[in-house]
Amino acid sequence: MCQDRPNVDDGVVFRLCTQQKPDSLYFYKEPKPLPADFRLTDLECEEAEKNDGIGGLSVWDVSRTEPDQARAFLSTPRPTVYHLRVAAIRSITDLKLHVCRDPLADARKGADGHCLIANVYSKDEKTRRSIRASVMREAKYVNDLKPQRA
Amino acid sequence: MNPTPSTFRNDRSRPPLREHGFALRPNDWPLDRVAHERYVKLIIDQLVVRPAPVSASALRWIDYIRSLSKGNLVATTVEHATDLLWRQLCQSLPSIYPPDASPTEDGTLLMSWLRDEHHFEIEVMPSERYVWFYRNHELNRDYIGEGSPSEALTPEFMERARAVFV
Repeated sequence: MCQDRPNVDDGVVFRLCTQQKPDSLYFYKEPKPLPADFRLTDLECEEAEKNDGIGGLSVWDVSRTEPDQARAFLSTPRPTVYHLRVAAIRSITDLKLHVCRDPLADARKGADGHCLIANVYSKDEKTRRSIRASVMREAKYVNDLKPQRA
Repeated sequence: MNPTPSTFRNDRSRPPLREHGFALRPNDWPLDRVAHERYVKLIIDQLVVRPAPVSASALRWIDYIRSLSKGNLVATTVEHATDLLWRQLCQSLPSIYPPDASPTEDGTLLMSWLRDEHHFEIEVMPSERYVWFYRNHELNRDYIGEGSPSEALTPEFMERARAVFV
């Protein structure tokens, strides 16, 4: 996936959540990273299968893209931002995770900051969930969501 | 049927009389009507299994589960299965507490409990089955399994869950 693309060796990338409405979430206490926000969709898994089993998780370089610029490309409101240190992702043992640039073919500002965390897909479901859990552990919640109240 | 002395004779779960102010021998039945009624009440209080008090956070979680399909966040099958599963978990794991949760883009409900080195998640599918996954980050060990709220929780599930909900 990243063979002909430059790697990002350091710095911070951010991941936008997949949820569109904060009300759809439930937090027991304080907001924490949610597996749903780091989950490859069924469609992304199918695409990874077609791509020799290599799948990437969409993230953005904080030095090149603002969260609102990233949201504009996605066309759906995604309120939550998670920060991930590239070095921390690369240090996850055994998984060979890395971050590579994947600029969007779009003239709008921030398009050049799009990146992928590569090697997050595995055919084996347990491995896939393990990778996700490891990535989640490095994620830092940036903006607050209001947990649902009764 | 009213309890009779013979009903409780040799029953070790019978409330000890002396500790409750009955000046009788252990297997005797109080003959005084007031004492009799007080003793019956004592026995009923001891026999009836009362549900544990439900915390505000647990009530909020139950409200959330029951609002899922109304908001078209997940299918009614997911809501129903999650409701059943939560009851099953509460019965089997008294120390469990509500998860963090979110519907996914594929129509499942993903619940998670992240504590220290423990990562535990349960994903409820529209088919009403669920997949559970546990990772211990420090030991670098992963476990996975699946089930249905209509089936008993597996020993492996219980073993992993107990590590999280101590």
